[in-house]
Amino acid sequence: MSFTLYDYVLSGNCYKIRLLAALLGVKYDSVAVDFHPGNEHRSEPMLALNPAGTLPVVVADGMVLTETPAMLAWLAARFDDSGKWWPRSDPRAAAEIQQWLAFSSELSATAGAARLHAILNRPLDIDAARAAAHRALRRIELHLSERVFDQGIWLVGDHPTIADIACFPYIALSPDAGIEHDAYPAIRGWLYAMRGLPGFITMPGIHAMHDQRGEEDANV
Amino acid sequence: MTLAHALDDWYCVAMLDDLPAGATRETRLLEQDISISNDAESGIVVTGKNGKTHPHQIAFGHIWTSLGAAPRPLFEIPEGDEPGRKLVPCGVVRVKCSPLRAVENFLDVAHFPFVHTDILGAEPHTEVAPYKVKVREENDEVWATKVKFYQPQAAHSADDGIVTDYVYRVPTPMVSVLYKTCPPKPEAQDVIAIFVQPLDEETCDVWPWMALYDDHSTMAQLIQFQQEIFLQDRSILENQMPRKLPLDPRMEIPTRADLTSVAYRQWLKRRGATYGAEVAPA
Amino acid sequence: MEANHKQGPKVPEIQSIIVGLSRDLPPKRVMRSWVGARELVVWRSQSGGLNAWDNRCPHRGMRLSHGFVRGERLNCLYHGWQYDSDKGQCRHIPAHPDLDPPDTICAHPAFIAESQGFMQVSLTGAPQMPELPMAMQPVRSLTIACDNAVVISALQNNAEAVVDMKQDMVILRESGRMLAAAIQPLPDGQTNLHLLLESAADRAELTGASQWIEMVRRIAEQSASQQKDTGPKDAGPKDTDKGSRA
Repeated sequence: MSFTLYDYVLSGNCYKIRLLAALLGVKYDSVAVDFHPGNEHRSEPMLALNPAGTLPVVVADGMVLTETPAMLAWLAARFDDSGKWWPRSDPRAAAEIQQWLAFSSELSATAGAARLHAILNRPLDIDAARAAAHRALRRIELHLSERVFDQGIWLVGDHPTIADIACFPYIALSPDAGIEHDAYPAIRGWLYAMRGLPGFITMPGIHAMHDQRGEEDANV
Repeated sequence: MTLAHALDDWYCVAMLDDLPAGATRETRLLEQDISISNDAESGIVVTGKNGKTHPHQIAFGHIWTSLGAAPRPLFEIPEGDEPGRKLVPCGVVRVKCSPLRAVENFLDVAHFPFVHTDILGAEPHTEVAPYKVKVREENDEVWATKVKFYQPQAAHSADDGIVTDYVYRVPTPMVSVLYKTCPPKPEAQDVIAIFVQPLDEETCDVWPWMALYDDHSTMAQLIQFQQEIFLQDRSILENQMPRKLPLDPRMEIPTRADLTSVAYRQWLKRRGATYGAEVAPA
Repeated sequence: MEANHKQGPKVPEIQSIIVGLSRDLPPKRVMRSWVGARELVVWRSQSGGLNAWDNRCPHRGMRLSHGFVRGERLNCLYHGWQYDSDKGQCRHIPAHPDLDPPDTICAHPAFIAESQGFMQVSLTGAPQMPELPMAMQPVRSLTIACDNAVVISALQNNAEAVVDMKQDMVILRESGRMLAAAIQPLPDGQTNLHLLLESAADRAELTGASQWIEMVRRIAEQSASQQKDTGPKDAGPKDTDKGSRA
């Protein structure tokens, strides 16, 4: 098999890997880890694999990856023959993507943490997390509205990259924590474009693109 | 009045596995802060405001308590004792909605193709055939039977799409139990329940629990199958307005597919179980 | 987010207001907005028909703004009930495919119009849209965490000139170009600002206008937070469980 994903269905970070794999058409082995209620990610076997006790973990041919941006980069480098998802030979595009990969950690720490608090009651200063999430959303909104001036949609360049994958889940899921998107029209346009990508898969909190389905039997 | 009626029921407030010796869980029930501790000497103790202790019982792998003086008896699910079943507490999820909205959503099948797409339902198999609903007089429970729905993946154990038979049961206002076709053992039924803990009228902690026949899936897989489905519902539940469940029939329009929900709302009204409900029109 | 009258500031009785830029609602897209305290779903059909309805499906109260568009109908996300563009009549209930839904099952439309790049919604009749001095191009919509008086003041103090002020619209000149800023007060005390720039402006000037309005927002929010004498933590969008909306 291509790789093994230690996975939790409700994790936005795990979904980044599931999503890119689906968009690339890559099959993989999946091990469900009982994050909640079992805290299995902190069990001895899981800590032996990843001392940070986080999910996802990607294992392939003896390689163990525990940081999501690294997993996205590896997946694209390994399986994307077009080189479009991670254009690492283009210094500028690669650097701009790296900026967004770094930014995606900020989204996890703010919007992602707020969501875990709202759903699983994990302790958090929720007001501070929400305010910080909105500051992050404003920054990406500013960037995406610049792209709109050029009739562009994606974070970097004229096609989706791992930058978009990295930033997508915690933004799309932020309403789970009461962080709504009404203030961000450019982000809403980008979310809509992401959900329309061929091979797109959902996760709970991100609804299926019903617009496209059943056009034939739409208006009976 | 509405709170007074609600006090005299048992509510799920903790998962047994989550409360090893020495542990305490702080939570809220019917607008009261409570704590549940597992004391080395005295065992499980539920403490409310002003240090008052409340009775508890253990059922379905969870800890239940009541804040009322004369709680109505807790219901039973005998299938939970059948040998060979996997008993799966799925972990609590918090939702900003009325506890009654959470129960009503659990009783509905018409949303399966749109909310649980390609799992519990799929277009164009959207029709809800007529089914039967009645209130069983002997214990005043709402039951819906002969519910059928085509499901691409009825359970983690399912290999193919099947037409699933559903039976729904509401034994008490904030609990719903469903009995559905078990894919690997079609002569038996899988049991899935939600126990809803009302923090207040517009916030609840939902405790799902299952008793299944499945010898192949891991516990993590079973839990995550259920969690995926419930979290899909959560984003609906938090966006129904008004938050409280309207009991005035003029406020929301049901169809024949909504027989169970109509019966549930009438039953709530008759019992005076209006905590989490809007009684007067908005 | 439902307006929380117990906690939020008093909402003026707004009956008609600009809710966004036409560019930000292409065909088949759905968004949410407010006229005064009234929450609405605003959506565009496949053929381009604009609609603004009460944001509530009459079936089980689900927000229609989570719905999806197929052809000329908005479909509720919960049970897929289908509502016709324009009149909001329910035409199809997937649970009962052979049923012709009774006329009583209907969304509640408000009045919406678009002109010169803006979309305006009225609760009472055809929206009277303001005249713009020249052809304009869309810049952006943004939400400012303070009330409209502070926003208007910040616009006036930071532009080269105020050309006109009327009916929730400020026409300004900045960097030698005309800007039209439509002001939309929100029920949680924040303010939406929808910005247009004269069409003759080039691509670089578009960025310039966007940067300028970012600056105006910073100034407005800073001055609002100084007035309240609170820390920087509050100078940002508020959220749903405080009865506000982001």
